Amino acid sequence: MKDTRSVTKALFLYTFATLIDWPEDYRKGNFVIGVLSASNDVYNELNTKYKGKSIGSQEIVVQKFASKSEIDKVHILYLGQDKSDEITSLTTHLKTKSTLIVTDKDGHLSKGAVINFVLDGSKQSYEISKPNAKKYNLVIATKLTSLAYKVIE
Amino acid sequence: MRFFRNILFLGLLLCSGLGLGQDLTPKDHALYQAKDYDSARVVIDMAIQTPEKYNSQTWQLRGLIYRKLETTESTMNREIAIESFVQARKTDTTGIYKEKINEYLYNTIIRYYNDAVNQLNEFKLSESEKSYVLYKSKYIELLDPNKNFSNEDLEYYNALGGSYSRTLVQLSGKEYDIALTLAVNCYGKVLAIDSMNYTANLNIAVMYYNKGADLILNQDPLNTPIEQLLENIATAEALFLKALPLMKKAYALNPDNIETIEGLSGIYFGLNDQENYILFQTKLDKINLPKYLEIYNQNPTDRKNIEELVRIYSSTLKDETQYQKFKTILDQLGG
Repeated sequence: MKDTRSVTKALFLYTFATLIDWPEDYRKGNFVIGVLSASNDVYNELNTKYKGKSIGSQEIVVQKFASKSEIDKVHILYLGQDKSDEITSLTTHLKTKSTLIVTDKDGHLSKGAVINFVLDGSKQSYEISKPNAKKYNLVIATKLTSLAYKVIE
Repeated sequence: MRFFRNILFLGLLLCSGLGLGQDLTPKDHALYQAKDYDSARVVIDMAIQTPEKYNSQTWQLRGLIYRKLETTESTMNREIAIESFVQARKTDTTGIYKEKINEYLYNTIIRYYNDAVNQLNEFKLSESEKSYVLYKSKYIELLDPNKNFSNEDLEYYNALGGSYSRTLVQLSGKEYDIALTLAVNCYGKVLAIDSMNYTANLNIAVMYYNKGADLILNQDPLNTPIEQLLENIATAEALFLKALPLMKKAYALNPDNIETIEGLSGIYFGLNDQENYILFQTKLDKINLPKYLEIYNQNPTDRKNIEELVRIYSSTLKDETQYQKFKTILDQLGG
C-alpha cells in the first residue's frame, strides 16, 4: 500500500517550518524536527526526504524520541496519534520553549497544541491556535492561517 | 524486375491468342494452383475486362489471388480481395456459391481481427483498435448486419485497456494522462456492455487509485507550495472517491481476491477512513500473515518484513507477545 498519509504530513511539517518565524535564539544552529510516536512512518518520511536540507541557513535534523524527557530544544515536535495522551505533560515539559507542537488528534488545540492535523471531509488539513502560537513566541504567516481548516484567534 | 516479367508474360499470352475470345479464368486458375500469383493477377485483371466479369467464379478467383498477394505492409490487396468476393456474390445470380463466397469473405475479414490481436501483442495499440473497428464494420457490412459483438468487445477492450494500463508505469505528465484516458475509455466500453465486469471495475479503480496516490507520493518535497499541496490533496481525494465504488463492485463480485481487498484498504487509507481501512487491512493481514512468518523463518534479518509483522501485531491482528517479540528483534537490528 502507498503511504500517502505520511508523505502528506511530512510535507505539511516542512511547509510549516517555512511559514513560521521562531524567536532569535532558535535561528541559529540546526533546525530540529522531532517526532514523538511509536510509529516510524512520519519519522522515516522526514528522515528520508528532509534530513540535511535547510530552513533558511539552518540545516534540518530529524529526531525520533521515545519519551518526552528526551526532548529539549526542538523547533517542531510532531506528536503521533499513538502518543496523543501525552499532550498535557508535553506542553508542561515544553512551556518555556519555542516549540511548534503539532498534534494529530481532535481537540488537541485546546490542550496546548499550536497546530493540529484534522480532516476536512476525507482530506487532510490542519487547524491553528493563534493564542498557543503566541505562548511559544511563534509568528505564523498569514498564508498558513488563511489556508487552515480552522483558526482559533 | 517483376514488372518486366509481367510484361513478358502478357506478351506471351497475347501472342498465343489466349486473350482473344478464349476463357482466361480456367487458365488463370492453373496459374493460381501453380502458386504463380503475380502472373495470375495479371491474367485475372484482364479477365474482368472481358465478359468473364459476369462470371462469379472469375471474381472468386480474383479474390483468392489478391488475398495470396497480401503483404504485411499493406492491406490494399486484402481490400481488393474483399471487393472481388463482394462482386462474386453479386454475379452469383443463382446463389449456388453463396455459402462458399461467404466463407471466403469471413476468412478474409477475420484477418483484420487477427491484425488487431497481433498489434495488441506488439503494443501497437492505436493500430490494433483501428483494425478491430475495421473488422467489426466489415463484418456488419458484408456478412451479418445483426451480429452481436458483445463478447468480442468484452474480451478485446479488456485486453486493450490492460495494455494501455501497463504502459502507465513508464509514462508521466501528459502522456500518462492520455494513456490513462485511453485505458479508462476501453474499460468504459466493457462496463457499458456489462456493468458487473470484474476486470474492468477492478482495473479502472486501480488506475484512479494509483493516479491519486502517485500525485501525493511524487510531490516535490521541498518545492511544493502549500496551495499546491492542498490542491493535490483535493485532486487525490477526488480520484480515490472515483475509485471507491468501482473497487467496491469488484470486491462484491470477487470478495476472495486479494487485489480487491488490497485495493479497498488502500483507497480507504487514502480517504482517511480509518474504520474501513482497518476492516480491510485486517482481512489483508490475515491472508498475508503466514507469508510474512514464512519469510521471517527463511530470513530473520529481513527488516521490512519484520516491520510488517510489528505493524500487524500492533494494529490489525493485535498480539502483545508477538508484537514485543518482533519489536525487540527490530530494535536489535537497529538502523
